[in-house]
Amino acid sequence: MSGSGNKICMFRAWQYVLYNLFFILIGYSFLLFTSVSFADEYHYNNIIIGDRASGMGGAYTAISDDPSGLYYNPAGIAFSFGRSLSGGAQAYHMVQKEYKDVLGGRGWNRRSSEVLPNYFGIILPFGNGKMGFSFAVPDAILEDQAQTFYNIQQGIERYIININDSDKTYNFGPSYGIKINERLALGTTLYMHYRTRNYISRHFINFDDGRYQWANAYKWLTESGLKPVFGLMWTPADRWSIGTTFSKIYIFDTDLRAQATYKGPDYTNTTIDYSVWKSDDKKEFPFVTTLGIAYFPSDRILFSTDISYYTSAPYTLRLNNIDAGSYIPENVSQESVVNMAIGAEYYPNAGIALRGGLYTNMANTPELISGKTYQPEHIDMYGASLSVSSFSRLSSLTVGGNYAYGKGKAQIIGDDPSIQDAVMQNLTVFVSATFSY
Amino acid sequence: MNRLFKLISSILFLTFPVFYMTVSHASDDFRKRAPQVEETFTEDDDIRAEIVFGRELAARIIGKYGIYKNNDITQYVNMLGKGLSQYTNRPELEFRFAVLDTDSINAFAAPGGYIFITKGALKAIEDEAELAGVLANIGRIIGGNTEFLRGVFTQMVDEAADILFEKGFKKQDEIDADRIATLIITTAGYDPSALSRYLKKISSDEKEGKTIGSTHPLFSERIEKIDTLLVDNNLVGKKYEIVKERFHENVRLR
Repeated sequence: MSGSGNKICMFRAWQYVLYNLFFILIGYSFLLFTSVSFADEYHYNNIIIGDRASGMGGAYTAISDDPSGLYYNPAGIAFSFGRSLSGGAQAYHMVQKEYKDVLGGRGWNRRSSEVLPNYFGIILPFGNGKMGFSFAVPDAILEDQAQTFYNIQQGIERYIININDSDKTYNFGPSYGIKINERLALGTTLYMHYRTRNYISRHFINFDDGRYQWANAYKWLTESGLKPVFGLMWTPADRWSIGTTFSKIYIFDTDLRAQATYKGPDYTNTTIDYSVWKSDDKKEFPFVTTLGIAYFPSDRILFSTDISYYTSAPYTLRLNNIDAGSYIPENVSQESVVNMAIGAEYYPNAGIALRGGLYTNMANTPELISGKTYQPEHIDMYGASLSVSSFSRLSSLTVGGNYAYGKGKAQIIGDDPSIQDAVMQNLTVFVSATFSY
Repeated sequence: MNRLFKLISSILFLTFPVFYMTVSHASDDFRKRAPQVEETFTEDDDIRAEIVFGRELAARIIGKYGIYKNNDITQYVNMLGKGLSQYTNRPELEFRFAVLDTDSINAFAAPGGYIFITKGALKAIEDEAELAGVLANIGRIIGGNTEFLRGVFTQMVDEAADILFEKGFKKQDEIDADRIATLIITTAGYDPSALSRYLKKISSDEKEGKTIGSTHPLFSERIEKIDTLLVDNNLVGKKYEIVKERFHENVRLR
C-alpha cells in the first residue's frame, strides 16, 4: 500500500486505516469506500468567489476593479472607483458524486449541501493606492448522510452508513494595490489560510445469521498557513487590460488526529478495540500562475478570459499509529493542472447587468490505470455560470449561479483493482450585494 | 505543463519592461461600466442615498461652524426658504435651512436639501428680498444644478467638504446659480436686484476680509452678469417688494 508506485491522497491514508480495520475483521472490502474523502482536494476551482466574478465563470484577473479583485488580482483594486464595500452570500452550495456499480452492482451517491457566507471585501483609499480586506471561503463541504442498503451481498441483510463531514477552508487577510503609472498597477494580498475538518462516520452491518458488527470513526483536522498573492495589472492599449497573479499556499501548522472504534461480528470481549492516529505532516500546495485578458469595447459590454496553471505538488504524509508506535508513509501526488475561464458582461441599461461564463475545474489526480489499486478518482469538470445584477447609485444586488459537471473514473474499493464510472456535479446559487460610498 | 508554465513566464518576463516603459497618460475610464457612467436621480434608493450623503456633509458644515441657536431666526429662514424651494426642480427633497454661528459671510448647500447661511451673512442682509436671493442662489446649487450635484455626489464626503470649504464651486455653476436665483426671487415677487445688491455689499466686505471669498468666483464678474440679466429682461427700475420690515422684525442681529 505504501509503495512508491502508489499515488494516494492525504485522506487515502485514513481510508487505508479504516479499510484494514474492516478487512482484517470481516473481509468485506466494500466497506472501504465509505471513508473516501468528500472534500474536493482533487480540484482547485470548487467555489467561484465574488460578485461579478461568479457570474463570469471566474474570468476576472484582468478586471478586479472592485472588492472581488482582492481575491482575484489585488493590483486591480488600484483601478477601483472611490470607496466600496462588498458583501457576498452563497445562498446554496451543493456537491454530488455518484459512483456507479459499487454496492452489489448498485451505485452509491454522496451529497453535500449547505448555505454559507462566501465572500466579503472592502476597499479604502490608502496613501497613493488602495487597501482592502477580504474574506473568502474557496471550498466547503457539509455532508450529513444516513443511508441503509439491503441485500447488497450474500450473507448481509442490512448495511447502514451514517456520515457527518464538515470541511471548510477560509482565506482572509489584507491587500494593497497601487498604480505605478497610468498603465501599470501592482498589488499584493496576504491571506491567512485556515482549514478545519470534522469527520464522523458510523457503519453498521447486520448479517443474515443474526450477528452484527459496527465501527465508528472520528477525524479532526486543522491546517493553518499563509497564501501570499502578487498581482500586476497592465493597460497595454486603450480598452485592453492584462492581469496576472502569482500565489502559493504555505502550510505552517497541521494537526490531524483520528480515532476508530470497532466491534467484529464474532467479538465477545468486554473491551472495544480502538486505534488512535496522528499526523502533523504539512500538505504541499501548487504554485499558481494566472494570466487574464479583458477587452472593454464600451461601457456596456466586456469580455474576459483567464488561464491558470497549477504546478505539480507531491509530498509525503506519515500517519502515525499512536499505540503501535508505527506509521504509514504515503506518497501523495498532485499533478499539474491548467484551468481556463471565459466570461462576458452586458448592460442592457445602466440599471441592469447580465453576465455569463464558462470554466473548467480539472482534476489534479492522474488518470486511473487498469490493474492498479488505491488510485484516487479522476473527474475533470466543466462549468457554466450566469448572473444578473440590479444597480442603484450606491448599491447593487446580484443573483446568479454556476453549475459544473464532470464524468470520470474512481476506484472506490481501494484494494480492488476494479474501476468505477463516476459522475460529479457542483451547483452554487448565490445572492450578493455591494455597496459603495 | 512545465513547457506551458515556462512559456507564460517567459512572455511575462519579456513583456513587462515593454509595458512598463510605454508609459503615457492613458485614461482608465474605459474600465467604468454603464452604472458608473450613466447616473440617474429617479430612483427612491438614489434619493435616500443622496440624503444620507448630504446629511454627512451637513454634519461636517455644522461641526466646523456650529449652529446659531435662535429659534425665531431659524423658523423665519426656514419659512422663507421652504417657500422658495417650490421653485426648484427637486420636489422629492425636503429642504432644511439653518443659521451657522459665524460672522463670516457665506452660505452652503449639501446634497439632500441641507441649506446653511451664516450669521455674518444675515447681518449683511438688509431686507427679505436679499435673503431670498441668497437662499435661492445657494438652494439652486442643490436644487437645480444637476451637473454640479452629480459632481459632488460622486465624490467622497472629504472631497465634497473640500469643495465647499476650500476649492469652491465652479465659476460657471455659481454664475448659473445667480441667474436662476434672480429669476426665482423675481417670480416670487421680490426685488430682482436684491441678489445683486447683496453681492455688491459683501464685495466691499471682502476687501475688509469678512467674507470667505476663496469659495466664490470674483464678485465683480457675478454682479456684472446679474446686472446684464436684469437689463436684458427689462427688470431694471421696476418696483418689487423688498419686505424690509418683516426681515428686521425676525432677524435682530445688529
